[in-house]
Amino acid sequence: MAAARPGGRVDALPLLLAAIALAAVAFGGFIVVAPNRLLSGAPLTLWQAQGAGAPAAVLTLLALIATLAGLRDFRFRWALIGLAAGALVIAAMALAGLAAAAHAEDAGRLTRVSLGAGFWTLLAAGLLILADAVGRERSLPGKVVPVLATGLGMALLMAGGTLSQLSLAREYAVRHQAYLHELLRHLELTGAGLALALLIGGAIGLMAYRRPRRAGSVFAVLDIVQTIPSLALFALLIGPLTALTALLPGLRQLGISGIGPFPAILALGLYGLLPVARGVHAGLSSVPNAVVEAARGMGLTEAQIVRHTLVPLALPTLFQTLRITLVQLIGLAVLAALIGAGGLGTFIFQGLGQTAVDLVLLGALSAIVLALLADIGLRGLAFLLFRRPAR
Amino acid sequence: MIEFESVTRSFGGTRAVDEVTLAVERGTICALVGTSGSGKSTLLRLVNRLLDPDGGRIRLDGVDIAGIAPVELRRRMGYVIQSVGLFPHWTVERNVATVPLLLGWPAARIAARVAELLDLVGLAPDVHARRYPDELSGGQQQRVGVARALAADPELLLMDEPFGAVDPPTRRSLQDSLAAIQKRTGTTIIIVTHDVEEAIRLGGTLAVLEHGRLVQTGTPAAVLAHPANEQVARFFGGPLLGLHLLQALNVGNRANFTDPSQVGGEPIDADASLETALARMIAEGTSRLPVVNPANGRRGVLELAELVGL
Repeated sequence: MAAARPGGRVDALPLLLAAIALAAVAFGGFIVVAPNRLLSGAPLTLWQAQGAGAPAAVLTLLALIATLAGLRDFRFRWALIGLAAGALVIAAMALAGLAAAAHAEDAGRLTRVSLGAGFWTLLAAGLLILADAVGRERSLPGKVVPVLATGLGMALLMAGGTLSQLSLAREYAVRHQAYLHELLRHLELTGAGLALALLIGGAIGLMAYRRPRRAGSVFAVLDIVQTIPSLALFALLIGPLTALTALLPGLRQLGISGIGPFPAILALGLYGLLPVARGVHAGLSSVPNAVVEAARGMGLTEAQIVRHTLVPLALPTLFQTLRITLVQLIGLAVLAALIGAGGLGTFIFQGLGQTAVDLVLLGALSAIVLALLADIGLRGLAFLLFRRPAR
Repeated sequence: MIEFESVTRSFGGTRAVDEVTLAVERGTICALVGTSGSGKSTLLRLVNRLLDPDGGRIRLDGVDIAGIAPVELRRRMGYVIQSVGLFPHWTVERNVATVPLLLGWPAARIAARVAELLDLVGLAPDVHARRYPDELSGGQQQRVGVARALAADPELLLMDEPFGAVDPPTRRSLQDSLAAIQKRTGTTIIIVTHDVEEAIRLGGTLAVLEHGRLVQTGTPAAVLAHPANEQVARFFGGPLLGLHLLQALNVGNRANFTDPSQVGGEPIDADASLETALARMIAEGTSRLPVVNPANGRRGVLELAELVGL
């Protein structure tokens, strides 16, 4: 594969994904119409839901992607594939919204239109083609423009009300006040847990670097923490913390208790310890010994060695550690709702309790999007920060 | 002038440096030689206090270095290591400017000094100053390493097997450059090496270490002519020691400047090594070479019998 001539070979991944998307549109239920939010409904294919025009639009985009993937390489080819994939994603969302509006009008107020397997497959295929294309595109604008255009299109669809009749959007609409509150809470929990992990994990990583002989046992302990199932860790903290506050009632005034935000932040911090400590240790260890020895031999102080050699040379790894830990904690913070700390998990567990799938999705999708945004944002930042200066 | 006085340093019970007493005169090159584990690198690292001795004293121009703060002491000395240790995220220019920047020199003085040093080590400032270390060859990197060590005009240059990682022709050219630089700047140099030829080429004085003990000091010619013991003889080539002695001696040591009989052909410099003279005799199929002393123009003859010391 590495030896393939540029443009001399058909790129299989977009073709495969386009074929999957094609099958999903042809046979999969695009939307599901149910009499109310709790009953399961009947799936309708895109054809059944929207008539012939909609599938034709999707097929055109799929054909465009397949054609571009089959062509010899040219400048901005992958950017074009990315743009077409973005258009596919936006088209899928818009068609789902339009179909929901049409069917909700036909039936009563309680009717709920959810998204079917066909829609999700089409959406996933579109996003994967986009991600693949952005990864392969060489120019910076070719990478950025398709992502921005797709994000902008999604934002416009949401803001313009096209999606408002979908069950997911209606779940949001009835509780958008609570949604904002829980979203903020989710960010607070993640941020506090991350800060805790960076502080303590960073110190542990630095210690392990300074005393290599102790590194092994330190990481063994952290590895054990990491093997505790996340759900169990949240629950396990309830007991000791409750006992602690019973012993020292003054702690309760400080907001420390067995349930609520405090144990959630503690659990998130504990989970972040290992990746942070490992990342800091790996980053510092990746700095060549010779550089540190030469720096010391030239008369740099310990602080100057850290500032001029260790930190700048470890920075790309440290930044990557920050990104990985943040993404991991955003996902884990969903569990905080279980011990009464709130966050986006609230909707997931409410939805599970009510068997309201769309409410579960509201919480889960929000957490996924949040994690994705954090990932893309920090990757972009790292790209801008750590590119070698032009020479 | 550096004086070691009964200097000892142990690592977990073994004495890496054992009661070493040695003086290195200002403006000379002293080569610390010995096999791996003989303690030569440890001895070097005691000088800039990367290590501190367990016993004894080291004096720099009469002042005990134990009383000088390590950071301040190190900024007065250049330090060059085998793996160079250039800062990969800085340009050549910035690398060379490291110590002057730490010392807070004005920008104009630093720029002038960097250009001067790159010139001195044989790199063109306008070509190499803006490059990053990974864009240079191994030999060029070590040239930058030497320039960086000389940046603040140190009283003393410490070198730990500086040319051990480059190929032989590059090593010889670096050694020649270093000798020329030393002649120009008059910097005192202590160089650790296990390369016999390097020690002979550079070392005004050899200090031979064995299991942490200093077993012999002297000029290369003296040490090679009368090795202190079996191990020293073996270190300097065993059966080939005689050939190394030819590297350590000059044509002038063995030539006869009183013999009026003239020999034809291109005369050889009295400064050249006997090894070079022998090579020419072999190449030209002769047992006599005309000699000229470049300092005073006197002419003489070198006989093969004299060359080999008969």
